[in-house]
Formats: sequence, C-alpha cells, structure tokens
Amino acid sequence: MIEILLILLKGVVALAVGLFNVIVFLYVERKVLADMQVRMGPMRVGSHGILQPLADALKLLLKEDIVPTKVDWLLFVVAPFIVFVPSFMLYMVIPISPTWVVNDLDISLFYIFGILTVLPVGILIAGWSSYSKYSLIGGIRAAAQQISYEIPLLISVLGVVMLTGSLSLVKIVGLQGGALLKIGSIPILPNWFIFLQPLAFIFYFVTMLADQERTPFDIPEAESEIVQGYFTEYSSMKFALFFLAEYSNVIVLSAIAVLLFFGGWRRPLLPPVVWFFIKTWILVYIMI
Amino acid sequence: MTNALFWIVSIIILVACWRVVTTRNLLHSVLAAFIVLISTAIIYFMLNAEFLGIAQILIYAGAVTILLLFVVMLTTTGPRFETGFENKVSPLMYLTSLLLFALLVFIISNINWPFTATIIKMKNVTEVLAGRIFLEYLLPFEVASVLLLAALVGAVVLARKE
Repeated sequence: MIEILLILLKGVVALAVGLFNVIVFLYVERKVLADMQVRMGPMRVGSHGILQPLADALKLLLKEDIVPTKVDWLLFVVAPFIVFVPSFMLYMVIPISPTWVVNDLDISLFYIFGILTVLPVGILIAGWSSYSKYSLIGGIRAAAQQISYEIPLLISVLGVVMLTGSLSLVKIVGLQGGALLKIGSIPILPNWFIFLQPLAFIFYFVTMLADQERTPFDIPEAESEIVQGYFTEYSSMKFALFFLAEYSNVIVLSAIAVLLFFGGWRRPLLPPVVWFFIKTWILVYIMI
Repeated sequence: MTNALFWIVSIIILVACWRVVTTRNLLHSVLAAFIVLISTAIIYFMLNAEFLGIAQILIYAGAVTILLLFVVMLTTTGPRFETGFENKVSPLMYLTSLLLFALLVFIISNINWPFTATIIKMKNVTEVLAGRIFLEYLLPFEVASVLLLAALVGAVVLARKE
C-alpha cells in the first residue's frame, strides 16, 4: 500500500514540476518576444509582470465555460483530455537526476513516442467537433503535421539508440559520462552524443520544431488564415488544457534532446537536477 | 487491487465495444474504438507486458485511430457523419457472432499455453520477448512481415485502378 502511495506521490510531484515549468515558460516566452520586438511585455502584475502567468491561470479558471450550440457535445468535452493527459504522462519516464525518475521503464524512449502518437487523435476530434471550418482546417493541418514529423523524429533518435544499445533514458545518460577529448588530464569535450552525432541532433531539433508547431512551422495556427487553429472555439479551462499540453510538449521534447544529446544531468559542481533544468531551458530558449 | 482494476477496465472495454456497433455517429464510433484500444493497452500493462502495451498504443490507439478519423472525415458527406446503414438485427447475425465466440473460446481453452504465471513476474519482459522473436521465431516473424508488405502493395495496386 505504501509503495502505491509513494508512486502516486512521485507522479503528483512530476505533474507539479511539469505545470510549474509551463508557467515559467509562458512568462519567459512573452518577455523574450517582447524584448526582441522592443516592447515591454507584461509589466503590471508584480515586479516586471512576474505574476502575470498566475493571473492568467486564475482568469482562465474563473471564466465562463462557453460551449457553442452546434458542437458535438461529447467529443467537444472529451477532446481536451485526450490531448492533455498523454502529454503529462510523458513526465513519468523523464529522469531529472540519477535517482529521480517516476518509473524507469526499459523502453522509456519507445514509450515517449508511443504516447506522442495519441495527441493528434485529440486534436483531430477537437477540430471536427467544434463545428467550425477554421477549427476543422486547423485540426487537420495540426494532426497531419504531427503525424508526418513523428517519423523523422523517431529516425533521428535511432542513431543514439544504436550507439548505446538501449532504449532506457537512464542508461543512455549513464553512457555519456567521461570525456571525449582530453589535453593531458584536462577534459575539453564531454562525451555527449551531440559531438558523436551532430547530424542526428540537427534533424531532431528541426523535426521537434515542426512537431510542436513552433515558429517556422506554425501553419496549423496561422492567425491570419484560420484564427487559432483547432482550439478556436474553446474557452476557459478547456482552452487552458490545450494550451498547457502544447507548452509542456515543447519542454518535454527539449528535455529529451538534453537527455539524448547533451548528457542529461551530467556536469560538475552543481547538483544534477539544476544542470538538467539549465540545459533544458537553454534549448527551450532557443526554440522561442 | 489489480483484480478490481481488471474488472473496471473490462467493463469499460465491453461498454465501448457495444457503443462502437450501436452508435449512429461514425466519429463517436471511432472514439469508442479508441477507448477500447487504450483500455486493452492498460490490460497489457497490468500483465507487465510493457512493450506490447506501448506498441498497442503506438500502432492502434495512435496510428490506426487517426487513419480511421481521416477516412471518416474525407469520405463521408454531410455535417454529422451519420451512417446510412439500417441497424436491423437479424437472427443470422446473432448466430454468426455466437459461432465466432464459441470458436474463440474453444481455441483459447484448448491451446496448451507454454507460460502461464511465470512470465508475469519477470522484470525484463522486453528482453525475453526480443530473444523469442529474433532468435527462436525469426522465420515466422519475417514471413509475417513479408505478408504485410504484400498486403500493402496489393492495396496500392487496387487503389490505382480507379
């Protein structure tokens, strides 16, 4: 019984970490984009708008949940959960430090790609059930894009898998210790797989951008053509679920890139968790 | 605990199966099928067959459901995707379903399954499975994949005629 409770607790903590990351991501994205465009970004709530994401979350929670009259009610309600639940299930297998992982499967990489294929189902259903042509077109675009870029994503990862002979993320990071290049006894290049397989990383990064509909590939959400893509008709908490899922996927995919190509938590001095998040956030920052 | 979970999941599967055949809306039917496939994967996970469960999610719950959704959306006309079929239940249908069910029960209860309880307690199921497939049963495995390839080519040939 205690074991089950412990597993549940770990799951809850992983979920909290995921949600917290998403909230930080929202703030960072708005601030960074504002900075690039010589704007101020959110400034009012808290010092330099630091509480803005919290205010947004509260606003989304408290808003009236509008369901358009012509929607297919059952599918309309179910779709956000089909997108949200799998994307937070991904946190289950991501090792943040050598000892911290909710469930270390032998095949955690395979698990991640298996779960990722479920997301387009929810997106398609959301797009169709909204009974709006913009949503439908957005949904079909998003689903088609995600499906088609999942295959190159998988293939780009295979190089690392063949190098290590393992699908377990913990083992893959474990094999990235030591140094690749040394002068005397001073290590210059760590034994990260990005130096062994630079091309695989470039592939992974580009397809990751496409899979998550980030800027050069954001046709599913082209505002000038189809409003907001598949979740145009959604409001309040259901909208928030899509939003959270989308942003958490960006973070999870960056975390996987860190685990596969940048040695995960491995680096001196600071504790492993800190290194893991520093690396992940550098990648997320690049993606913004 | 596991037993209760098994019963809950089984009931979900049965109800969803029933919805697949009875609902008039094709997309509801696809959603019900999706639930069936996911729940089956949960049963695989409960039996400690992680690989099988994830493969089930990847191929059936992910790929096949999306394929079904696209097919329904692109081929049917009208706003609500209602089936044009008359859902008349004839005695012949009952008879064939019962016969099929009896056949399956007969086969399952008569096969001498090589491992019953031992494999469930194993930790490295994926490794054992890989060994079985790629060392002992390599030839049947390859024959099955060639069969799939043949089906693929056949489908393309049939579709090109139009």
